[in-house]
Amino acid sequence: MQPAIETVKLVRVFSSPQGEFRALDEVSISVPNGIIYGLLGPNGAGKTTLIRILATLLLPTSGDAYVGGFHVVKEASKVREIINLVSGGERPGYGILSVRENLMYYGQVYGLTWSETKRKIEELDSLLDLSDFLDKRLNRISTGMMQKYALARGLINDPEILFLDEPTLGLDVNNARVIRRIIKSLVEKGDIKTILLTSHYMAEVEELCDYISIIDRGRIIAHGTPDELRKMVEKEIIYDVDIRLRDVDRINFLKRLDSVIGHTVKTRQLTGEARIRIILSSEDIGRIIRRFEDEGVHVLRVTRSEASLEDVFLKLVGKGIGDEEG
Amino acid sequence: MAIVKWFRRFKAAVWLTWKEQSNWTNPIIYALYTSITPFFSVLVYAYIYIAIAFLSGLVDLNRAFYLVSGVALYNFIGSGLYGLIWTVHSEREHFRTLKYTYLAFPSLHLYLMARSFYQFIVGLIYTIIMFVVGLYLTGYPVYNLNPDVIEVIILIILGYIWSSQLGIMVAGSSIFSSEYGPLISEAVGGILFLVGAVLYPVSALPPFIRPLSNLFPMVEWMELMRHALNRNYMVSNIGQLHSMLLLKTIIYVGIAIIYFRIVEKLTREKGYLEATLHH
Repeated sequence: MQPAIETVKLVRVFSSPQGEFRALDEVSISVPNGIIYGLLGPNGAGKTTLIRILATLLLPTSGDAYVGGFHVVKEASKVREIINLVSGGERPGYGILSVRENLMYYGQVYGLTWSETKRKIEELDSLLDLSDFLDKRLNRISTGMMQKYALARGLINDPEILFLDEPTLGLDVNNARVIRRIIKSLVEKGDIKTILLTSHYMAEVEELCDYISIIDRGRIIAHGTPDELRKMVEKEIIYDVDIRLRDVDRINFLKRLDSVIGHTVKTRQLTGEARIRIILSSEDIGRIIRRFEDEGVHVLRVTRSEASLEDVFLKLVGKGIGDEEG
Repeated sequence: MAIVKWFRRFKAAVWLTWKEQSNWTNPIIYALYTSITPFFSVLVYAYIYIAIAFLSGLVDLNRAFYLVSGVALYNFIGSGLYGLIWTVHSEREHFRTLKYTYLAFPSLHLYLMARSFYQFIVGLIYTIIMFVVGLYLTGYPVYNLNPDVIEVIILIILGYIWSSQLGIMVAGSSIFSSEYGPLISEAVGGILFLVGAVLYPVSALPPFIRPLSNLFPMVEWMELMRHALNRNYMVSNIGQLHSMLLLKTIIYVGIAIIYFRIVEKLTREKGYLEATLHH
């Protein structure tokens, strides 16, 4: 069966007076129909560039990409008929118009009649719970409402394939949870056939996606189901070590230890603590804790942990997904 | 069926411009605002004429007609042109919707034409108000006009076509410049005002500027509109003017289609559909 999305050695190079930047480097993925496919990577990894090419907003430098069997360069208009795009962290729309008016507009621009659009908005209202702000002006709604509106706009044309670029970016925990629940239900109920979702939130991708590709510096470095990816670190030993926040500067020695594959640091300003997640190639935690103490680091807690996607990324790249911005 | 869908899309884009322009107030205030703007503009030009006539002691009603009709008709072209070029800037910079529009509307070229349609209608209203009020203020005998309504309608349609295609080309160029897009529209509007037989005939221009007027169908359109509105306004070589207007309009449509396709490809190459200055 023909995949919903396929890329073959896709390359995108951005040129600027400062030089060339290879945003995508021979990216080849194949997304089957009927799944939520996750593209996981840090900021600047190439996720948005890939979505922009697939959504026909950007041309690739070389390579091929197909969406719904249509070539994104040669058959761009056919691609646009079967897709839609929702980007997080932005507030696009006509602020002086109400949410309903914005949706009425997009419905008709997609070729629906006035009554079809009205019916579609009612459907979207029951799916996304828009009624509280449907008649509010777009420039007066909260960020969470905005993202629900963005999803509604993304669904107004019943796309076969939906691109979600960082759909929960900038949302608080509760709103992000609501948006994730909605996204999951879209494919489960069959409202959308296929979703390609990008995120740099591990938990989000782990919760939503049936299949994941990890992308870093424009290259796909691993792919598989969440279980398959987790198996990549099943032989490694993972510990969470809690220390005092003020001692964080003293843990650089971890990089020099042979048994340490990688580590990440998560600070907790409120409690004044930091959690160091360490992946070990062999059971060496006793020696490491002694080194902590030698360096004057006060260890608060040590916990053995289960492997997560974050550890896969840590193992493959040698640093956490949030450790690098850009 | 496909044509019905296209019409629906076109209508939605026109409706959007109307909402965008009028949604800040109630319809009565908006209607008042729309009528007052041209009223005061024509007051300025009419009183320039009256002041000159008063100071020089020369009253030339034909000149009054030329001036008032030129200023009034320029509003139709100018309003639509500004509206069209401004659409690219506002969709990308202010509303951040240009990329979503690009995905939703099958042709950005036709979308821009649709978005500007409302502005042309508003421009037409301005034109009618300025024309009637201007002629009244300058004392021109309006009952002498004897307009050819069919020709006026045909010329309005042709004016919409050529000026929207000119707008498409300028809007296409403005995609490559976030900051200067609106300035380009003002510059083009200014050139049309200068060389388009708005306030004076082309023969009044310095010889080195005159060839510039041949680049635009503005002079032919202006002269034919004046003649269609007022059978007493004489134009020489009316057949040649008709042919030139039609020919230039066809050329504009052809060039605009090709040029905009090139622009679209370059825009996708550079990723400019989403490029903003984050004002």
